[in-house]
Amino acid sequence: MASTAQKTWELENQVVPVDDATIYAFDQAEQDAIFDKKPWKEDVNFFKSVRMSAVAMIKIVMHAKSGAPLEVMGLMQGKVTLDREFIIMDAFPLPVEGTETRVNAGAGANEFMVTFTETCERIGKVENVCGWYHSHPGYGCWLSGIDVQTQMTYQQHQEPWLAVVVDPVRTCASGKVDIGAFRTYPAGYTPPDEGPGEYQPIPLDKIEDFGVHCKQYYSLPIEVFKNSLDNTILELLWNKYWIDTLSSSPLLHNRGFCNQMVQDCVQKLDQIDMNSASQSRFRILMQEPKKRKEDNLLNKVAIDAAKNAGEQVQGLASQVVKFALFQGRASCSCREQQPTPMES
Amino acid sequence: MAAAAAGLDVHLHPLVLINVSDHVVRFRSAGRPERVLGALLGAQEGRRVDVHNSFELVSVESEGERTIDLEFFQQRLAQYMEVFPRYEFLGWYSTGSQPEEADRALHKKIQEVGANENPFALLVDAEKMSQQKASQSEELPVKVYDATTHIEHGVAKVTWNEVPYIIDTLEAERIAVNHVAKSATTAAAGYSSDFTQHTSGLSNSVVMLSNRIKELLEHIKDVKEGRAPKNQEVLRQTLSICQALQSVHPSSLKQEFCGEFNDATLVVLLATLTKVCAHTSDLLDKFQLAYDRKHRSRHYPFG
Repeated sequence: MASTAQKTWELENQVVPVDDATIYAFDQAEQDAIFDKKPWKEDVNFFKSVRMSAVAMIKIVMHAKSGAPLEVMGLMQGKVTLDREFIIMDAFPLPVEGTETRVNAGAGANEFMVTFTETCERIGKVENVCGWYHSHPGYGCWLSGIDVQTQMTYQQHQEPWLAVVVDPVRTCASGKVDIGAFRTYPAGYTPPDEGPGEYQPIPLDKIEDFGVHCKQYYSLPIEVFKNSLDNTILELLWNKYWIDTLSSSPLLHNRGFCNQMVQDCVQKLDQIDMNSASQSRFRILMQEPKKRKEDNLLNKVAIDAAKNAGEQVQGLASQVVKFALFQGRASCSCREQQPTPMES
Repeated sequence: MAAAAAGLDVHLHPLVLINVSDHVVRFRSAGRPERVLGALLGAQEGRRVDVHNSFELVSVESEGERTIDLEFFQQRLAQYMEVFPRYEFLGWYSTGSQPEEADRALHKKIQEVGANENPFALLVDAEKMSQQKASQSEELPVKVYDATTHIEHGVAKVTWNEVPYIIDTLEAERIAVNHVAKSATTAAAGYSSDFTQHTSGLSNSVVMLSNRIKELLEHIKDVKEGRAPKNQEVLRQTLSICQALQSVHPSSLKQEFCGEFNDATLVVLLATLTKVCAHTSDLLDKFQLAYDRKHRSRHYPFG
């Protein structure tokens, strides 16, 4: 039963084989050596990438999802290498919930954290805590002012330390895990202007917070690795999994989020309208031509809208396929009166 | 089938499997050969059991008997309860192909201390999984056992019944697992749009479905010609699926579908309009720059 589907799927799963022994090996002495050297003190951009285990990734996403629409927070265990890498082995949740951009661990959470990590060694998890994650349900992966403050404090006292942000709502909307890893620059450091990075839509009520702090940190690419057993399990899971791919209905699940996005676009357009109305004709004429395409507010809104539309089309594709599969037979017999979708 | 009707309806989530796998490989790499042990968490509603999460446990081996570290277990359980208040303790997991003798004592112990009177066991056959190539077998070497305790000669005895289970995922979980499974390719193959990924996943599923249907069709043909024995159960289920396909209300479904289709296209239209506005404004800006009076008088002194 060598189906093409399975073949492609297996082909897609060709991972650079990760040697279990090397990845799970943990040498406290080596970690201490790196810690004593503190290479991140000399180079603010010392850490370049993040490798995350499959189990950590799924745990973080599931925790974030279970907490939505509230923000949740947790910690990550792992190690650092001299290859400028964070290796995240596992993650565990903290009993902290928050609203908006103010997740903060209180005293209770600290106690939880201490007892949790102390006992981890007994089950073979020897890695140190080396970062925190929290969720931004519905408004994208970036660090807010409070997050920057928290991360800066951690980086002063708890190095090496990594911040991870995940957006469970957008993950569901786009069908792709929306996750970002960040490190802040020390206070007073101004990074060279590299131009804007990849653009991401941010809701109107958060845009100010984002804009003020977006130059205080940089993001690191995240790569996921699997151990040898994960690979087998994932391959076997596909045999049961294709049903879920077919039966999920992204349009239905994300209706609320889509509405929010449209409303957000409308608000942003309103604001642009107000701004240009309040400016005199003369000032518009005298205005400097826009330096970059990204500077144009209208263009930004257009990108937001296009992203939302893309997600809708994606969901629609699923529905059309299902309709053709399961209703195609019925509609064959009454083709002459079959309405085209635009009619009704 | 009879067992399914009488027993539990177990829905297993991928996170648990991945978590067990991490646990097994971690122990193997550390050179600890013993069987791993952990607790299962999830939600229970009637006979439906959703296994959402799991955590590792410390097992103590003494005189051939495996027991758990109670203090550790209760502390961890309380911590997970604090974070996931809706979950409850459901059972335990370990490795192996079938429950061993020592597991009975362990099970009793867990029964005594756990918040669940009737925990069940999940066994992952890690050995089998690492040896065989995945493509050769269709089934996950994972088994779920429901234990029944009855008194025999004054002693409580545990017997194991295998319970069928299904793999279930939530939307976010499905995306996360997909992401993990495919992350290597997107990094290697460079940029690929979300839409291509989505549709390729869809087409793979459709191929899978068509393969399954072809197999069923072959089987029924064989039965018709007497080459295969009649399995009433299979035939009955096939019939009910065929009938279910016919009995949906085509008109109302079509209406729903049209509504959804129009909503989605409306969003696309809105996005297009926004984009048109942005481009028009861009064009206007450029136009002003090129043709405003100051510049014009410079370029065309007599115009």
